[in-house]
Amino acid sequence: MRNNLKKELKSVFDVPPPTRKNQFLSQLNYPKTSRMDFIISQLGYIRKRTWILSMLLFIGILDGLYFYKVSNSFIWVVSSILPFISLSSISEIVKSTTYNMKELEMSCKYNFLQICLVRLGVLGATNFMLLIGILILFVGKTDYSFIRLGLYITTPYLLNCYGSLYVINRLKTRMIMYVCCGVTAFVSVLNTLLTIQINEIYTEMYWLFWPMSFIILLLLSAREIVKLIRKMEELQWNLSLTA
Amino acid sequence: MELIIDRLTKQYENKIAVDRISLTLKEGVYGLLGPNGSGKTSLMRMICGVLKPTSGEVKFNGIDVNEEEYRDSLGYLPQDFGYYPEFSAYDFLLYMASLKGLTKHRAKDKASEWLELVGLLDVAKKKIKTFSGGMKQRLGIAQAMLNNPKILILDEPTAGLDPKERIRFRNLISRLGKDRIVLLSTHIVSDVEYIASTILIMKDGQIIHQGSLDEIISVIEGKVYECSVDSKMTDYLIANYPIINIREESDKTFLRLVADKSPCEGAVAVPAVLEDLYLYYFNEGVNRDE
Ligand SMILES: Nc1ncnc2c1ncn2[C@@H]1O[C@H](COP(=O)(O)OP(=O)(O)OP(=O)(O)O)[C@@H](O)[C@H]1O
Ligand SMILES: [Mg+2]
Repeated sequence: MRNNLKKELKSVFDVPPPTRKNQFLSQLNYPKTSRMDFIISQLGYIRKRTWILSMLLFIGILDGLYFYKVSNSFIWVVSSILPFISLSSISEIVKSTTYNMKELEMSCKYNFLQICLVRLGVLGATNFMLLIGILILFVGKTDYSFIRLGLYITTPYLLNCYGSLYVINRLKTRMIMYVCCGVTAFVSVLNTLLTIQINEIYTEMYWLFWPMSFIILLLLSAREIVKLIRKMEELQWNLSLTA
Repeated sequence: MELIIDRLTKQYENKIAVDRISLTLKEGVYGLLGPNGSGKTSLMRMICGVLKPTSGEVKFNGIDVNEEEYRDSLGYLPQDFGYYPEFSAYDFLLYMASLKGLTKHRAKDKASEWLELVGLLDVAKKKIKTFSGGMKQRLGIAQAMLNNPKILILDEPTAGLDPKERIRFRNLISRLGKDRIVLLSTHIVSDVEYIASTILIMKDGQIIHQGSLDEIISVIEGKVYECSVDSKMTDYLIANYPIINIREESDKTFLRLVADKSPCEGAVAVPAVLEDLYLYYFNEGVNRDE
């Protein structure tokens, strides 16, 4: 009965068409995401290959340890591969520039700087965990102490970080990744040559060389990271993108 | 709703690209017209907080261009943009939506809605690298609109669009301009002639004219003449008047030019259009070459 009445009424009276519907809708506040949601969504946009590469290395090492014991050559192989892990992370951090999305990202609510900081934080943390994981696997299987092993493995990695960041902070070309690849290849080969040529490289004879290089490279890398963040903050952009 | 640009200046090493521009923009469509290198992109980048001004400020309802809240009300289509290689059109829009702070659910709604509006729904799942220039441009327009921005800045939005899409785009923009600030740049006069409520003409980093179409055209209204003349007369006219159009006909030359009074016998005054004004200001160089 009631329904019928409603229908009748509807058919008798014309409903006026909504006039300012769009204006009204645009004034409503839609639910927005929080910063945390943004960070989580960014995780999904880190390329799979970055994770896969780290996983592969880790599994490879596990596998290797099963068959061989940790010899010096095992150490140089792992320490020469690690720079490639840092390369894949760095290519992820600078991909906005590589693929020319910087300008779009800079104009968004959560902007380029925040995106880069998330990438930097997430990838830095996973690389760190990977390094610690590898060290834990190694330690006890060699005569070297945890710290000594840490120095042997992370110093080439740090050299690559420093070299790549140095390039990124100074070159302004979209081909930057090719230069970084070059740096990584150089570091990796250098590490291999040094460890093969100098038999005593992992002995007491070089007890000063490793911690010194480690600390210097750590400081230099930290300085480059600060520089990188400063530059992003400046929002200055001198890339001549103008056609 | 008020976007205030105050004495905005951008100087590259030794080149002033934007020279103390002050403007107040309210709801409506603004067409920024100017030749290559006049500073349109530089001006728009500063309005979007992407380029740091040498001096001056940009404020929207009292919010500075550097603030997150400002960017929240902003939609921007850059003159040139890229995308991550693995992205499909739909992925790209979802990514942009996440940067603009849309919830997942709303992002999906809006992405589909805008893909439909720009006519890309059937290729939504295709990789962007398979797109033509015009399709990519339409995707760029969709991206800018995701957060329903109060300020919409479009840098040469119609570049690469075919005539059908151009018209569709024009209709879309005039609708969008009802309740937001739309600033679009172009060198194609007809893009803004009918949809811009205010036309801004930019030259060497400055806004040399601003106003409605009628106001702007009034500068040369009644001064545009057309005539068909022989070659001797042609030379004379080219040497003495700003020429807007030249067309060789079988035995004569058709000329459209600007003159205070009738330049020659048989010349007829015709109604001025925006293109006349544009060429009047910007083709000095062209004349001299000929
Ligand atoms: N990064 C830069 N470094 C130095 N000069 C620049 C830079 N970007 C732009 N310019 C100069 O500033 C001036 C204005 O450039 P802008 O890109 O703003 O012009 P435009 O009006 O957008 O031109 P177009 O119509 O070609 O897009 C030009 O002379 C250009 O050479
Ligand atoms: Mg431009």
